[in-house]
Amino acid sequence: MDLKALRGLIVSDFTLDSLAVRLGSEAEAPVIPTQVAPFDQVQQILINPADPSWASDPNVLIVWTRPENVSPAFAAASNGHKVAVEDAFAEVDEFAQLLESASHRVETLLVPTWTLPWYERGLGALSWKSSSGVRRLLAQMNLRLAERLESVPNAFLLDADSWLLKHGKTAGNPKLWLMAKMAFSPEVLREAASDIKATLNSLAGKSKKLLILDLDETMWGGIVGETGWQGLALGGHDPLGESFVEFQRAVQALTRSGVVLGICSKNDESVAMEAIDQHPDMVLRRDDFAGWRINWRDKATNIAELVEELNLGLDSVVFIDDNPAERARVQEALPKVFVPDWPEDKLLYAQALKQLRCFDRHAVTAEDVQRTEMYRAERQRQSMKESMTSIEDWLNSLNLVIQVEALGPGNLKRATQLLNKTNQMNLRTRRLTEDEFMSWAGADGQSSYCFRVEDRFGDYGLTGLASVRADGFVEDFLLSCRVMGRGVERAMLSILAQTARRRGGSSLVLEYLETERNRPMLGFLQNDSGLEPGDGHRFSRTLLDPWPAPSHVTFQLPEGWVEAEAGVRSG
Amino acid sequence: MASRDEIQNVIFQTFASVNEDLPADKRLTPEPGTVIFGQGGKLDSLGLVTFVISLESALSERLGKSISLTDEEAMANGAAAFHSVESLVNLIASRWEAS
Repeated sequence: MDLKALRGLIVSDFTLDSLAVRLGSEAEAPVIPTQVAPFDQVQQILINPADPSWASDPNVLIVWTRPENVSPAFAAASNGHKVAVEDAFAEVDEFAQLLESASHRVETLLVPTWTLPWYERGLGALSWKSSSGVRRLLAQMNLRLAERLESVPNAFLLDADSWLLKHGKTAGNPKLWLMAKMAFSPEVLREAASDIKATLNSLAGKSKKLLILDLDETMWGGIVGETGWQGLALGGHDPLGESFVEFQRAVQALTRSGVVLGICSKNDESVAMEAIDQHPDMVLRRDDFAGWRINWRDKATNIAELVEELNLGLDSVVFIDDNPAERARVQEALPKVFVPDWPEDKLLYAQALKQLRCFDRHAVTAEDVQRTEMYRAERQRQSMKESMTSIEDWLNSLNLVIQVEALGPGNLKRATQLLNKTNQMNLRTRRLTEDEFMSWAGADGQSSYCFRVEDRFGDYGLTGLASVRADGFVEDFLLSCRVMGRGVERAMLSILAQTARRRGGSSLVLEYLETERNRPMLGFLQNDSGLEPGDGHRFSRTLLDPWPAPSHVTFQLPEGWVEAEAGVRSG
Repeated sequence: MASRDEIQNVIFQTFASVNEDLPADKRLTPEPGTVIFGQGGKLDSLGLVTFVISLESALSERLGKSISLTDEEAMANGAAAFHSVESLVNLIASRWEAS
């Protein structure tokens, strides 16, 4: 359904001009330019496709009738006559047939349910008796109509009773009917217009899909960072605590129609999550949320990131926060996000949520029902990856391949670039020209090696460099930060150890020269290198003991390489 | 009895309410000289009925006085009684005083 090409037609047996104005208003999307068919010509217009009312080629048809006009049996019942329900059903069926026929001429057919004004009390206690209960008969007629239209895919009944309930005594005024043939007050027609627009938004796939919630004073009462979860107002036997439970239940109900939940809260994540996991009266738990941003950063930035992470559009998002300043900030920074006004009275939160039309659905698909589950499964996969206790398992899963090359004309340029620009993972931060570097590496007993790294995520190219003297002193040891922390560092050490051993060295020695930026190198030497710390920043290890390469690494070694170490395997 | 200003304020508040359902060119401006109905007026007969019934409710709610403006006498003289804000204030004040 194209929301920019809507053309409405109202067919009714009472005055609905102001509904047409409201539907055409830009104050609420979508705009539906609407014609009102001649008053009280319902059957004639529905049955006759050549009626002039169809000349505007409408694609949205609204048929709103009074029950006494559709069903003479109901009219008789309203006047105190005994009627057979079957007679009323036959009249409803006939009307449904007309509607079904008209539904083929439009994209969408909307039919408000039949209602009775508040003052139509019938005979009091007999209102719901089968013998003469007018309200019972009307309910049966509405149900019959719903059943008859169930199989018409583009026809929807709209619940007019909710519009009347909202406005109570002012929903209808006999004077309006007697003087202007208006069955309902302007307030009711405004509700109708909003529901019609919400239905069309839903049909166009514009229903909101992601509800992002604040925590403190929104999901629960109180500030969790100050009181701990034990001090929150949530559940228990007081109106405030119960109201938050009720609100959470209303939120949870939305997830069953495909709405995905997120959290955006200024809090310490661990403290907030402890409350979500531990508080006995929380209705919503960690698994109910597809994602969250719980930190002290700007909420608009957090929301934008979260929406991107969940691969949704900003125009599918609703943000609820008790704090007007936060709401204003998000609304200003992310105008596509719907930020509803929120009541100051916390006891009204559930009501405020249930009143929102932006989550309306014209259908709930299997995909909708599974959407939260899908996000939850994805988050659990991510969480499993993050919580993998064995670093070895993770390293083994990388399929790491390291190609070792001696420094030569083919790699000199790239190797020199790496030598001169690497800062963090750099042992001595030696800077040389290409000529100087080649000259150093060509000297007797000295070697420089380049390391090309590849794993199952991709080929990172020449990212490591190491130079060693015959006595085992390491002159250069540097690695691009792109491949740090995957065991490449230890693999490079094992290659240097082989080289030094072949040349008669007794130990491998790395002397760390501190710069402003190479602390990561020191961290590696101290914690992960397997080297023994010595004086100052010297680290060494004897070459007499075996020095196996990391088992998760497969080497591709230069031609003629003498595998002096059993632990180094060629790929 | 309410003052003329109070009555006028209720009229303006009712303007705001009925304007929500009127096309832009038919909306009523909250000014003493606004012509409501009849020659040069903004409302048609249907709009007038809606407005007057809303005004009755508003007078009852805000000033605590039930005044009928839709009786035969008032509606028969509609063009005059409902012509402008001023004439409407006069009508309401006279009805109030008479009741």
